[in-house]
This record gives sequence, structure tokens and C-alpha cells, in this order.
Amino acid sequence: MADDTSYGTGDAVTAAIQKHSDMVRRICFIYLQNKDDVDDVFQDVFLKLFQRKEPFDNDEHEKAWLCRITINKCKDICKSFFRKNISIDKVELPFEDKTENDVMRAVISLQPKYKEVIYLFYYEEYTVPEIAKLLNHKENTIYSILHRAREILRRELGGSENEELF
Amino acid sequence: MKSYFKSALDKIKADDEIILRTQKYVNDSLKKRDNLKFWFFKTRSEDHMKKIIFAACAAVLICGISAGGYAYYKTPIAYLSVDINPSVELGINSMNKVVSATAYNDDGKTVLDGKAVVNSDIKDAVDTIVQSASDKGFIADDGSTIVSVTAETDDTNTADKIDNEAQTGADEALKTKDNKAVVYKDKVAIERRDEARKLGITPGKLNLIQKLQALDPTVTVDQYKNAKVKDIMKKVVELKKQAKSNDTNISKGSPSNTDNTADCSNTDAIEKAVSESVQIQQQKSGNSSLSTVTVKESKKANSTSNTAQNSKTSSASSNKNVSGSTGTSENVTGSTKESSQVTIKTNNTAGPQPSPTDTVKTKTNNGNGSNKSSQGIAATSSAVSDTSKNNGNSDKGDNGNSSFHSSSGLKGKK
Repeated sequence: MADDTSYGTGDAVTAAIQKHSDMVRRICFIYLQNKDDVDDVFQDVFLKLFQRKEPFDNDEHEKAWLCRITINKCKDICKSFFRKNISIDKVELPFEDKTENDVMRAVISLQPKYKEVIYLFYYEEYTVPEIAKLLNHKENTIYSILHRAREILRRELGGSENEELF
Repeated sequence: MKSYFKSALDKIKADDEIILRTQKYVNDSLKKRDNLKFWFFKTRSEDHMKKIIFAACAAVLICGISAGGYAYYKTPIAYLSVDINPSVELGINSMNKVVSATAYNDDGKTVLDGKAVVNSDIKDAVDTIVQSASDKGFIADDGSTIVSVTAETDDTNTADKIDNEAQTGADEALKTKDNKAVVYKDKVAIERRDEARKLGITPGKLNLIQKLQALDPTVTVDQYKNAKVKDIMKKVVELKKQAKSNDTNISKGSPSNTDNTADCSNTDAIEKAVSESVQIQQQKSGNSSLSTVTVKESKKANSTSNTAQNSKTSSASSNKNVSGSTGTSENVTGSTKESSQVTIKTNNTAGPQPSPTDTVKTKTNNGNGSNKSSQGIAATSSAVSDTSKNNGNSDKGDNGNSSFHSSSGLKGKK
């Protein structure tokens, strides 16, 4: 039982979850709106984490790995055959600051492949090579995606008040 | 933007509730030894399960529909029986393809042996069967053989379509094999099929035998069960002529005529077939020689050589060796009529009119009927040859025998 995992006891499980739950939640937030889906992702992702036999090189490795797993899982759910399409506009974004709201709304309305790059680049602050490795793409691909995503966001958020964003 | 993005996301935290739930879930699942199974069911969301169910349903549906379609394809909606002497029955499906082939007698088995007719078109199947019959010697070289194709269905349109295709197929086969024979088409209702199956013969043959029985109630199925189609037909023609001449003899009024017509309609085609086969035989053996022979031979009267030669060329009853022109008779009333009919034909090809009368004289008298018919025949020899080639049943029908009489204006002589 406990021997099977690299984490072992229930305490370790709890600790790990605590450590990463915020990140997972963030990623879920960008991709999904449905609470059930979020639950799904959490359970799935952490179970996979604890079932993994090979130990991680370091914390960074672990985090990156988890990131990728989470993003993939979110994308899967988005692509799911039975998923009902939820309109983005209906979702209320809970940010007090209007600009924050706008930004988040714009990002959420991006296609999945843009979302991941934006998140990893702007929030996690990975470099493009790191992102390329994490997502298993060529660097140039990441550059293009990033560029395109920025274009779209610029259009979305265009307006004098938002000029300073970029 | 970056700062806004960051600050916004910073605010996103996982609430305790979800953490607890996840905790519980993970702990529970880790405890389960059977992780693999769990992974299969729970790792993906429920959607995955739904996907599987959906795919399974689709698969079942597809299987069901194809099974249904296949069964429908294989179900015969009509049957076609091909009888020469070998009797074969083909099951036809709604797309006019052959879905089953059964032999009804040993000859039929021989003909079907090793031949792939199932799944082919009616035309091709009949073609194969007739060719096979020809290969195995069931089609006589002299063209006297009659191939009967009978469609069994309650729908006349389908029956006609099937019959026509079958005929085309048979004709092509004969052409390929450079054989000649007559193809006789008919149709029967499905209920006759059950009758026929009980007796162990094809409905086509049963149909013919029943026609025979209509003319002569003493005939039993067993007698003709294994007879060749051409034999049965000849008998029918014989009996019919006999019946007709008898009627005219007694000079009944319209009743007899109507009776005749009734029979006629059934047996018209048969007569036509018989006469056609006779013609084929004539053509095969060559006309000129025939005519001369017959003329001469008739004078000689009844030499066996006559019969031998004539029998070949003349009437369909080659087996019965009716003599044709010489009317060497011997064959009993029925045959005389035939022979007289034949006589005409042979003589026609030759052209000489006198000979018929000669031959007629040499014929043994079997009764009034025969005389009349022969006279009529003589006079209307040309007419006969024409009508025999006609396709119109009515011509042959009422005029069947009577044409012999009427055209020559011999009615008075009746």
C-alpha cells in the first residue's frame, strides 16, 4: 500500500496536496469553469502524482511535471465529447479590479494552446525554452504561439486605457 | 498586462473543501490494491465512461442493422425453376439476385455441381446452368430440347421480369455453346410451390404436368416426374390437338370453341414452343435435303430409313420418331396430329405443295380428326409456317388447329 508510492503515508499526501493545490486551482480556473470539472482535475492529478513510481529530480521537476499533467487534463476535459459548451460571458469573474477582470476574461477566452503558454510565461515565468520542454514543442513553436496570443489579447484588450498593459 | 495577470491569478486559491475532498479521494484510492482497474474507471472523467457506452451502443446498432440487412438480402422473394430434364430451383431476392440454388432431381444435381450461381444475377445464373446442362449433354444437338423457365411469385410484374431475364440468360448460353433449343417461359403462384415441393418436383414441371392433366385426367404426376420437358410438352400438344379436332368433329358450337380458347391460352405457348423446336430441328438438319427426302420417302412409304431421317428433322417427338412428312403414323392418334403439323413444316421449307397431300394419303387413317387436320394442314401449309413463327398467342391459339382449317377455307369441309 504505502510502499507503492514515493509519498507513502497519509501525511505526505496531505502535505503534497497543500503544496500544489493553489497552482492546480489556478490552472483549472483558466481552463474550466465547472466546479465538478475542477474536482475531477484535482482528484485525477493528485492521484497520478502519488501513483508515480519514479522519484522527481527536484522540486522544480515535480512542479513542472504536475503543471503539465494538470494542463493536459484540463485540455482533455475541454475536448471532451460530452461536454456541454459553457459560454464564457456568463461566468462572473470575481475580481474587484475591472482591469483584472478584463484581462482574465480575455485570457480565458483564448484557445487552449494559447492559454497554456500565456500562463506559463506570464505567471509561472518560465522561459521559452523551458516552456518548450515542458509542453514538448519546438522553441520556435512557442515563440509563434506567444506572439499570436499577445496579438489576440492586444486586440481584445485594445483601448487607450489598456495601452500601458503591453 | 503581466502584472495584472499575475495579481489576478494570485488571488486564486484552492479552498479547503476541495483539498479535503481530494485528500480523501487519493487516500482511499491508494489503499485499493487494484489501482489499475480504478485507473480505468476513475482516472478519466465520467465522460470517458459515457464515451465507451456510446461507442458500444453504436457498435451494437451497426451490427444489428447489418445483420438485418444481410438477412433481408438473403431472403428470396420469388423463385425461378429451370427445367430441361434436370430440374433446378433458384431463390431470387428483391434485387433480382440469386440467393439459393437447389436441384430437384439427380440430373439437376449434376448440372449444378460445382457451379457458382448464388449471388449472381438471374441472367448469369441461368446462363451458367444452361451451359452446364449443355456440357453435360442434356441439350440435344438437334435442337429438340425445350428449356422451361418458370417464375414463382404472386406478382406478375416480378414474374415477367424474372422470366425475361431467365430467357435472356438461357438464350445467351445457347448461343455460347452454339446449341439451339427452345426456351419456354411461364409463371405460377407461390402456393403451387408448396404443392410441388411435396411431390418432390419443381413448380415449373408441376405446372406443365398439370396442364397435361387438364387435358387428360388419367395422367399422374409420377408418370412424368422424370420426363424431359420437351416430352411433356409434346404430349400436351398432342392431347390438345386431339381434343380440338374431336370438338370440331362433333361440331359443337361456341362452347367447344370457348373451351378450346381456354385451353389454348394455356397451351398456346406450349404449342409455340413445340413448333419452334421442330423448326430448329429442321434448320439444323438442312431444309432442302429434308424436303426432297420427305417427298421421296413418302412415296416409298414408311421405310424405317424414312422414319429415321424424318424423325430427326421432324416433329419435336424425335424420340417418338413420328415420321414427319410421311406421317408414318404408327404413333397413334396423338402423334399423327403432330406429324401432320410437322409435315407441313417440313414441306413448307421445301415449298412444294403437292407432297403434303401425297403424304397425307399415305398416312394411316386414325379417324376423322386426323384426316381433317391433315387436309387442313396441306392446304394451309404456308399459313402454318407463318403462324408457327408468330409470337402472338392468339394466332396460334384459337387458330391453333383451326387455322389449319380456316385459312384454307376448309371449314366447309368440316
